[in-house]
Amino acid sequence: MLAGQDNVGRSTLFERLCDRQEPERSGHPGAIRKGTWQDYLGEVVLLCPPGANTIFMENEDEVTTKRLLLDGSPTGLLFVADARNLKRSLTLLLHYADFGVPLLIVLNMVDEALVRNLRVDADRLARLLGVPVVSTVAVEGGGVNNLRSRTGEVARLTAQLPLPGAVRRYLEEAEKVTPGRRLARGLLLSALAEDDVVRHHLDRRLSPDESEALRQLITATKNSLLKAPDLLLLEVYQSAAEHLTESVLETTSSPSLPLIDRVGMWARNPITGIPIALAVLSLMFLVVGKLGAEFLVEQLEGRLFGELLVPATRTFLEGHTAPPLLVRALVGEFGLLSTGLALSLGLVMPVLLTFYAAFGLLENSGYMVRLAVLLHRTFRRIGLSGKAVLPVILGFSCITMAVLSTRILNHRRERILATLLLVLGIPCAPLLSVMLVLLGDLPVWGGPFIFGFVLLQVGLVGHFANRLLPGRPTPLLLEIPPLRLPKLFPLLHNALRRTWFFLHEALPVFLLATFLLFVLDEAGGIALLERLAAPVLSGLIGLPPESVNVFLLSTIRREAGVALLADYVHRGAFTPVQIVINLLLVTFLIPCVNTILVIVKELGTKAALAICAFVVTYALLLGSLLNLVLNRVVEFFSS
Amino acid sequence: MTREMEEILEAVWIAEESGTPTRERVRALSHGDWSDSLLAEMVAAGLVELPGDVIRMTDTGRCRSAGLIRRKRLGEVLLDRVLNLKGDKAEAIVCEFEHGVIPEVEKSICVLLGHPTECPHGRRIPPGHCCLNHEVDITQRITCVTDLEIGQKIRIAYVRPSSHDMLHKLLNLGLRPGVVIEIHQKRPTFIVRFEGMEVAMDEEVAAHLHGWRWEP
Repeated sequence: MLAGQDNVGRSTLFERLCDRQEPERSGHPGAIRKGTWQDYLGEVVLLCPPGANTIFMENEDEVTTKRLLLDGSPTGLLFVADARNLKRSLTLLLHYADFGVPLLIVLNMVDEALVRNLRVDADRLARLLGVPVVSTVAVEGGGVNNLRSRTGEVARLTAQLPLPGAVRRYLEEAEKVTPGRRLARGLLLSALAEDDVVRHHLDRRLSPDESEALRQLITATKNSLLKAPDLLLLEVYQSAAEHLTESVLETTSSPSLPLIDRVGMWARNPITGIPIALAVLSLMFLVVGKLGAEFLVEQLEGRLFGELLVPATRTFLEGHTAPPLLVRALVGEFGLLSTGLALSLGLVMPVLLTFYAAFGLLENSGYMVRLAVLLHRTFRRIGLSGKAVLPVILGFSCITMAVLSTRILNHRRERILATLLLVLGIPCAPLLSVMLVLLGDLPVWGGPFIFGFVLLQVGLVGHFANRLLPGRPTPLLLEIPPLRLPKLFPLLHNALRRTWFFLHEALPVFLLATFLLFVLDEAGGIALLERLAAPVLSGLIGLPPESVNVFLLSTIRREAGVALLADYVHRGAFTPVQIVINLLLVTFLIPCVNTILVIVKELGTKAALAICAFVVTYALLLGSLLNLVLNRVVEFFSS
Repeated sequence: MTREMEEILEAVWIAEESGTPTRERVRALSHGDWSDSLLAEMVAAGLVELPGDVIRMTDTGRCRSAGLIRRKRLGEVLLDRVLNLKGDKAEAIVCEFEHGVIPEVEKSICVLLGHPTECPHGRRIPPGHCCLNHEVDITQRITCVTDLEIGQKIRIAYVRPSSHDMLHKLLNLGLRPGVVIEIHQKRPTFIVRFEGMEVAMDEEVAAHLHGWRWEP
């Protein structure tokens, strides 16, 4: 098992260590990752829970890690410690070590620590704790082979924690009321700190009488302590960690700030930060918008599919007198090749790849948190605070993932608010990618109008939802990790991996949806739907009949719908106003099936239904209004 | 330096005041554990030297010892003259006082008491910088983080949050009494730096942190 805090290089190390990884579902936050590698003794299985930053806080990530530690009975724990902030890592380590699991300390980021004039005496640390310590630089793979070969050396911590008298007496008594159980000290201490995971674990292991006796003992001990036990124990772990750190850490010369840290400081200061943010976002736009959405799409969709594969297939099929139905099914309006594959591989994939690369750069460099600090006050106005900035930015990658990541928010109120805004206003990467392609077909006002409108309505809805929902926003308290320059290769590798997982999941659905549309079209269903939806779509919202197909496909995958829209636009079926309205409606109206399922799972059916009902009603009303206003405005200006 | 070492340093000082600090006398005056290995550790740490039977403090050791004795005797004066506490009770409190009081508070107490030169038992109190400068104003008092300017430092004295949950979060991040933090930014959010870490927080969170202005 591989554990540690966030931002200490756990994931990188996991990927470096494992030869094979089980496909994580597009890297959902909060999931346990599983990987394997071959050792001379056989296969080593490594589980990697999400990063836990606190002890006794019982947030979901911490609970997942602790459950795995207690109920997964791992043979050993590889604990990733941050050489740059050893004290914090050791606090968590001492806590985990108390559960009696044999462990090995991976001292990561020793290079970055050295830049900051910090040198950790790994040998001394190993001697003091009685467990092996391996230094690594995970991003470059330094020390990883050594680590692999030494995982078998995991050992139990021998160092003793100095405990207050009352707690020592509690431990002695607890041993007496649970005779022969030999419970790990960490279990008893966590039970004293009212840790729910441990309490459930103990309830399963102990007889009802023993459980009751232990409970009484805990109550008695708590009454005799001057402080809440969780705070007292936290202090014990922290002081022990501090003491250890002092004995193994050498600071050489006066630490002057390295350049990268200074850039990190500029990035979070409003005066220098806003220009930096603009520069970073422009760079992102260049990479995603120009390189991905224009150049690569043109090469793949335009050249490869449009000029080469589709015509060649059509000629081949027609040359071999294939039945017209088959020709239509493959290269027709809803053809598997001409629409399904061309759109997913030619249009969505290149933009997604560049987006993931750019997004990974922001995420791994630690810039995202600085952006969160900069944007905090703005977000505060719409009821989102602090950490909620992260899921929202993540929303530009994938809404489903972002909804899952709202777990880091501690209050349900904030989770509902964040989810609502995510579903309502944030275009996810695949959708964004196709939108970027479409922007090229719009008049100059199109792009700014769409994004300005999305921002405006996120602001308005957030503002009112913030007022209407009971409770008040939770204050910000966020650790800012040091800025670092991510290495190019792992960055691209990660972007490729994410794109691969996306396609792995989305391509079959994409193809199936295209095929279903084809069948529906052949059976005359689409014509029927077009007639049925005409009063609303054409009458109220003023969209051409083809938009029915766009919406149908959108419910399955948003980007598939918009990709089809792009196709129609290229054929000239939509006016600019119609494109704008259609794009906005798809952005607001329909969360994809995945997202709805995740919302139901995370927030419950009631909240999910309420969010969806609100979004759909809102979108229909808005569509009608926009149709009315925009057409007038455009007419006015053109006349 | 461990508490046992501090006890020995103090005993050496007291022994010096009334003669030669031989091992025997220091041992009799020391309240803590006593062992040859502890003495050896103190020699290794550069606190004392052992020429023959005598324990002699190095400059570093003498400096540390003066601070301990000063805090102990200031504590005695405070308890005796201001709080009117005497006997065993006072003795127990003073014992904690000398090991626990941070320099910022020590200075404030000395100014408050008017730079006393002797303890209630008539022994000399080693003078501090504040005594030599004849300071009369107590500049050190508990300040809230939100009242500080950018670049100023504070040693956290206590954390008074709105909820147990918030207290837990702050402590988990390492924002606990004794830690020295530097204010780096006040807008758009507060950013404090401590122990190589940076933490961003709202003003309402920063208002939970109180401490002594820290000037190295």
